[in-house]
Amino acid sequence: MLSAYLLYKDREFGKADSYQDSSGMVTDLGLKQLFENAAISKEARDRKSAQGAEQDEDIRRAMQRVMMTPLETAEEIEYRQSVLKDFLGNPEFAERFYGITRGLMEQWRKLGKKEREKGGNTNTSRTLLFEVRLMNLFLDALTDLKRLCRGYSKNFHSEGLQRFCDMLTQNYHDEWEEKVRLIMMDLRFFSNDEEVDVKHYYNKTTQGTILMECAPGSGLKLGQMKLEQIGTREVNIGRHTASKTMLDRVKVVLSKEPMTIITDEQTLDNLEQLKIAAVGRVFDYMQGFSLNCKKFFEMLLVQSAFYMGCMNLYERCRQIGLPICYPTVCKPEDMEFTNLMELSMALYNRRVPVGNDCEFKDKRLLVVTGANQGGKSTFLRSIGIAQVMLQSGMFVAAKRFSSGIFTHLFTHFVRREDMAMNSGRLDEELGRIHRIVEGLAPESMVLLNESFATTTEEEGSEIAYDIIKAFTEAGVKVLTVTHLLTFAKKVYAEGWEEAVFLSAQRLEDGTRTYKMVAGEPELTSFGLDLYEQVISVRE
Amino acid sequence: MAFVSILGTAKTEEIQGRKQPDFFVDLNLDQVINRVQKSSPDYPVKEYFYDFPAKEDVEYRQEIYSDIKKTFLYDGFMRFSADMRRAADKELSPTFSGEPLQGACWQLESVYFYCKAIVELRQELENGVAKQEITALGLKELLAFLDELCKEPTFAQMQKEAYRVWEMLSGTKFTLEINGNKIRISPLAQEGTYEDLLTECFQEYGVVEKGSMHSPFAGDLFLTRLERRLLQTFFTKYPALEAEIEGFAKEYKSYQNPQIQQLEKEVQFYLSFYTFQKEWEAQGAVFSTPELTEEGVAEGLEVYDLALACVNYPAEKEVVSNDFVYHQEESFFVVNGPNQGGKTTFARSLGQLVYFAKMGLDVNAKAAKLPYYDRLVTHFSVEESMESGQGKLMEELRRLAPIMNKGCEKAFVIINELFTTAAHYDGCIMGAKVLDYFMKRDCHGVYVTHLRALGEGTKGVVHMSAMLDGSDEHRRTFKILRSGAESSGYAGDIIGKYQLTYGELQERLKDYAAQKGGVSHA
Repeated sequence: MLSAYLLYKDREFGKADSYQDSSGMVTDLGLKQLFENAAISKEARDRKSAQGAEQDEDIRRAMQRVMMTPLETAEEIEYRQSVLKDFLGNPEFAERFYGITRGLMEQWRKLGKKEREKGGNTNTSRTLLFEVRLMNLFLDALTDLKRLCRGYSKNFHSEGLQRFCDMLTQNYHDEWEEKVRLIMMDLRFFSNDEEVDVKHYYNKTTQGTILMECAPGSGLKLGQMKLEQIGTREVNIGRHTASKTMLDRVKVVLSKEPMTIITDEQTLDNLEQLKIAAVGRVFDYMQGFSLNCKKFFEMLLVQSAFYMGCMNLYERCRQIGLPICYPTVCKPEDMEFTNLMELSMALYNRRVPVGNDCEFKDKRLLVVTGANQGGKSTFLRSIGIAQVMLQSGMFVAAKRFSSGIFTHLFTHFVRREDMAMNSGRLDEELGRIHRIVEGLAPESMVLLNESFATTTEEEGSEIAYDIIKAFTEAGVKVLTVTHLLTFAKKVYAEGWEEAVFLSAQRLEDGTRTYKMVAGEPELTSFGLDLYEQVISVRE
Repeated sequence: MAFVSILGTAKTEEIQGRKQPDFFVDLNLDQVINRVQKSSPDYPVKEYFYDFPAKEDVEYRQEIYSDIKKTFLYDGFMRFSADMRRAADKELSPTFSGEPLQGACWQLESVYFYCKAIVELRQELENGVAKQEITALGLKELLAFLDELCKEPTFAQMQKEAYRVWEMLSGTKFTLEINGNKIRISPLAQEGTYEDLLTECFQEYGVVEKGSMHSPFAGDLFLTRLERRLLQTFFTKYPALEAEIEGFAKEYKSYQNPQIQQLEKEVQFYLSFYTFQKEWEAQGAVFSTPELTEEGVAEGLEVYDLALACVNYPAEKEVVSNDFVYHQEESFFVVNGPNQGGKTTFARSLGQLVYFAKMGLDVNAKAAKLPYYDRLVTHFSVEESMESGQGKLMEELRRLAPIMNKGCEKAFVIINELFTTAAHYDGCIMGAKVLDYFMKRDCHGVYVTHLRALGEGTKGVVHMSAMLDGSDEHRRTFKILRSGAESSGYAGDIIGKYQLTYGELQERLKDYAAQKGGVSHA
């Protein structure tokens, strides 16, 4: 059987659960920027300006699907990281690999993939023709892949790509390929209507030769049919020499009686149906292989597109000058990083943003307070993005990043649609908390950004206190950016062991450094600075 | 006892002319039975679902049904049916075909498949009984009946001859050679075939059943031009066969035992329902065999509306189920609650449960225990816009009268929104009277109503209520629960609505904490 297994060691992509409310997460963390950058190849970018560059829809979709489905163990992450390293280390291979898969998919779509999937037309002869042509495409693509892998297999260090190369050479070995291709040759009479041989100025047509075992069936009709032989013979019109190419693999002793020539149209029509049935019979046998190929190439498209996307993204990061590292997994209570950057903002602005460092051991609650416009949300997003990338086996934009695995990751950010003045905002916000509570399962991490700010400070603080206390007590990891200082100060005063407090740095003169520093929550967010700044400009 | 019918111990009446019971439409059973009919397109089965069996036959049917659910027997009966159908298909006048020889062959086939159906079914039953996989009394009686039939000398002789000639004919194999527009028939060349090569090549990707190749002409009863042409050549090569077929047709006319024909039709009652059941089990629906009890209690676990489930499963919508129990001394559920809250669905699902249990089939629940109800009675309000005011009340009472006059001892009664157009005060009094009438007669039932006060303080009445989802007052859970503390549980305040108080969260996160070994801030 053909299998890709480039994303997981022991299975194809698609069976694992994606994050709950993944579309909300994409919005909250600004991941769209990331998907889009991944979908633009270096060439496409060189050709046009970044905004106008052509996006590869297959890559964009693959990035979103794969990134929104978390890996669950350190081994899984390592497996994928090592495959990624091989792809990044052999960019030419990566491009050709993706190119073959993508090329096949385009031809498949042209042939009418969608139409077939809908199952609209069940016309046997047309369906068969589609299947025969598709099978030829599959065989060619498999041969291309096999050749490509042969050339590169020595370069690979990852289990994933090594296994893939072995799989192809073993399950699609030359001898077997030869057999399947011969069978397809036998069916040529069905798929090629007529070819013109320009060199010799005469037409070549093909003719089917079929032997079938039969016996009288119900009502003396043809029954108990079995295909004994099928082949294609070339007839050169304009010359009388007929070259027989039917493969002599099956020895059949035939009678020497002369054959009957059918001339009337109705009987010829019957004969045609019989020939189609014979081709259909061959496809009964090939169906399993054909299905396997269909699944394989669909899987391979997603998987190779993901790695291709990672490569595009990697190039882009290097171009901007971002630090890149492969993150490591530690226990869920710890988190450590150096020079971590908010990738999606960096991609958008196309420059290197301020990086942050931190190191928490045995902490389940992170409370970030401090100056407005101090980079708190950016900081929280940078962790969220890195966490998602870690859990999809990718690199992250940092010098070093280490965190636990949280297959249940939630973001609770103020969303644009909530911005509209409407009395139901708290209702909507708490509705989302309710759904998070329903989705909580070990291990969970919740990112709260300015949550419960839609009510009074006092009320909001009480709500935040109850919810966050219950969460952390149960063992859920909570990272929160908040203006609710009553809440922050209360937690600080109670001296929760598992809590850590950071605040956005503000220098004495009011300058924001966009760095997070450890410290007790202060009662003000220094909004007054901004007020003065803005008002003084007006004056 | 001798075998009479697979549907009961007494002879069943002709199904033609049976009328759909009144409660069918109310309970949406017409939709369910239409689907059952669709699962069994070869036979008219609907009418079998219109009449209840006698009380003593419920168990008789239950036993048979649980045996038929076993794969070997289900397959056995399906094969029996298919063979019987082939026998009937070919029971055509030999002159029907333009080819006299084809007509003779049809006759041979008809006899052959009729005999095969009986012989193989008998064998299947015998094996099942020997292995103690068949325990139903009805099936054991059927086996005895088939034993007798097979021993009859005329049958035995006919069967032997039919098998011999049919096997001879279908065993004469030849090779058909096609080359462009030329054909030829040769004697069979058996030296490995293309199919063996294909098998060898692709077996890793799935095995194709040998001999499963279909003729493109199979759909046509008559011979195609090509087939007629081939046949002429064929019989010049095998003249003896022609004589055998003609000889058989002269000797044996197709004949069918009326009791076997009846069996073929009646067994479809079980087969069609089980085919339907399997289809929906694959989609996630749950069925179970109800326990029949003599006690005055009735209960069901995860009962759901089967008609709705058949719509919701394909649409990937949730199928809501409810539990219910009538304890001793409890006899009526009075259900109220918001509109579109699932009250009617609840009532229907109970009605369906009682219906299927009375039919001797599996029920639409995870588990159920029911007494025998003499009758199943429903009264649903018809389209509300149809008539108005006085007219509608009158219409309702007119429909109610025959139900109440027929004598309703030990019935299961479902009343949905009665007296909606009456004045509130009148509605309460009339409702109470109706309730009282059925309760005095040892009935169980469900009364869906807007009148909250109905039945209050009456012994034996249980109030139930449609629940709203705690998380969204506009969303309905469609759950029906006994009223009391539960129904007043949703508070106006948002925190309460989403169950986000510290205490509630602690409770909700209990499992998480247990798995994680959480901390305390106490």
